[in-house]
Amino acid sequence: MKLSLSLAAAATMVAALGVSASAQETPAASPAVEPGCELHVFPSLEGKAMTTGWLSGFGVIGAVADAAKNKNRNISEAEYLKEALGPRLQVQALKGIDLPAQLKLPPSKVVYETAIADRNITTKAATRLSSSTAPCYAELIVTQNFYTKKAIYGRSLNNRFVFKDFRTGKDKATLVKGRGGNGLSAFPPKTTDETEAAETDLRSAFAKNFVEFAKGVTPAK
Amino acid sequence: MKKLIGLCIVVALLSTGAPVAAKKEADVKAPPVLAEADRATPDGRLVLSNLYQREIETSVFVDPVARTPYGGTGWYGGWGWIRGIENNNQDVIAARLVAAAERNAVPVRTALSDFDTNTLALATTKAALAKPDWFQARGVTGSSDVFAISKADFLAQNAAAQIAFVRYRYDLSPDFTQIRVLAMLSIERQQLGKDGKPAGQPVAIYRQNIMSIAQMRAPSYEARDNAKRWAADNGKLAKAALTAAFGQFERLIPFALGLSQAQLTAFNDKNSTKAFAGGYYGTLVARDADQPDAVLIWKNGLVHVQPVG
Repeated sequence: MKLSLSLAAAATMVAALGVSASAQETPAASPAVEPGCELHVFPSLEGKAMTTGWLSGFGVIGAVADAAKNKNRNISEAEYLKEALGPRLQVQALKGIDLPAQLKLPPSKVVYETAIADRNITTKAATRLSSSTAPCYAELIVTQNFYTKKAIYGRSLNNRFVFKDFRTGKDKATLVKGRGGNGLSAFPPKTTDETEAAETDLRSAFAKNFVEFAKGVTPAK
Repeated sequence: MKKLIGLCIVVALLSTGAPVAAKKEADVKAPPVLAEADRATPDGRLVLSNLYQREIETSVFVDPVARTPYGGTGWYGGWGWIRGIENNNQDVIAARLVAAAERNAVPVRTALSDFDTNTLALATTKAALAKPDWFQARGVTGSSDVFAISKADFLAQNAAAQIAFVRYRYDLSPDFTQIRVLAMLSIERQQLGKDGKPAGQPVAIYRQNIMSIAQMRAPSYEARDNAKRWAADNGKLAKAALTAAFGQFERLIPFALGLSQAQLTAFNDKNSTKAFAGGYYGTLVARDADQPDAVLIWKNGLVHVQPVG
């Protein structure tokens, strides 16, 4: 390594760079021709759960009682969500979808990256989060995994996403933020027999949430 | 339990921004640039090189728990109770994550049990500080145990105009995709009495933290699987990662010591070219000429990330 002290020189070196160090898989959208575009996907490490019941409608004491009553449930469900919809399983769910088509991108090589813990980076950084210099480049970042159970609305999975389209040729992209939320019917499982159905339900809701988000994404101009 | 939570907080700080976190521990605020007037020391500098641990540490990522929209202290403290319950939820989750990380680290620790990290750290310090002509390391004292040579004892026993400290910590990232080594550099000017012996409290004149990260190529999303890869073949990859991560300090420490105020100002410029590497987002300093995937950034300190495996 030769450390260059000049930022200008460093910037020049950026342009000479190639492949992402953390890239995990690179399945091509089209097996025949390697697409020139790249979509880098960053799953989330997050897993939050919150159950609220009827007690929350009865003022301060009711809300405190509700929080205390559901304390253990919120802990165990957050932990279960992290297991059942961790980065590996998010990637598995997203592999069942034609991500470039949903995001209105040309056929692209989809690169799954390691999850980024720091929300300040995932929700604020406007530059590329990989070392790829491909001119046709975009990023999809999952920033939230949130299970809720409410007395009136029932169980649902909410996800937040960030999409960054660098096809304009600029170093910085606009962060297109959005969310998707869909109901759950089998998650969390009540018995171990229901585990598989519950996890399928969860991943299906996650995929639907992405599709919901993608509908609102418009290509960068 | 309290100890576990304390450990958790420490490792969380280390995992989210070690250069920043360690800086906050500093008893005295010292600049990250060594003033020109402080570079020349006629009698040379004494150096104390410490490795703070006997085995690789773990770290966890504790994301915020779900919050009710009415947390706080309003309504006669009622909402404060809710916040208390939520905070406790986070502590419970953090403690379980720490326990899981410790379990996952067992094969890596076993594989590294015959690896002499202490000797590697000391050799790294010696090699790194021999490079700048002006540094003039008079002698490098190593200690694997922070309690074996306390700073006060060391200062009492040694008279020198300046003393440099190089302290190392190393750990596994929360997802076990990285082995990270943190070097905390500091230089203190010693107050010498008329008899030439140390007198009074030394003054910190330089402090900087450097993180060197060895990142597993094509890692798994499962920490357990990554732990197995680090540990396989008697820890071949983990040992290579530690050697590579420590090896970078031979170049990074002289670079950090030689930084000028102008360079630091350029690194802290909010319009500087940014890069993301190893979980850190900061000013791009350089990409390695011999390893295109390796990158050096500035994020309140130097952070170098290189792939291994």
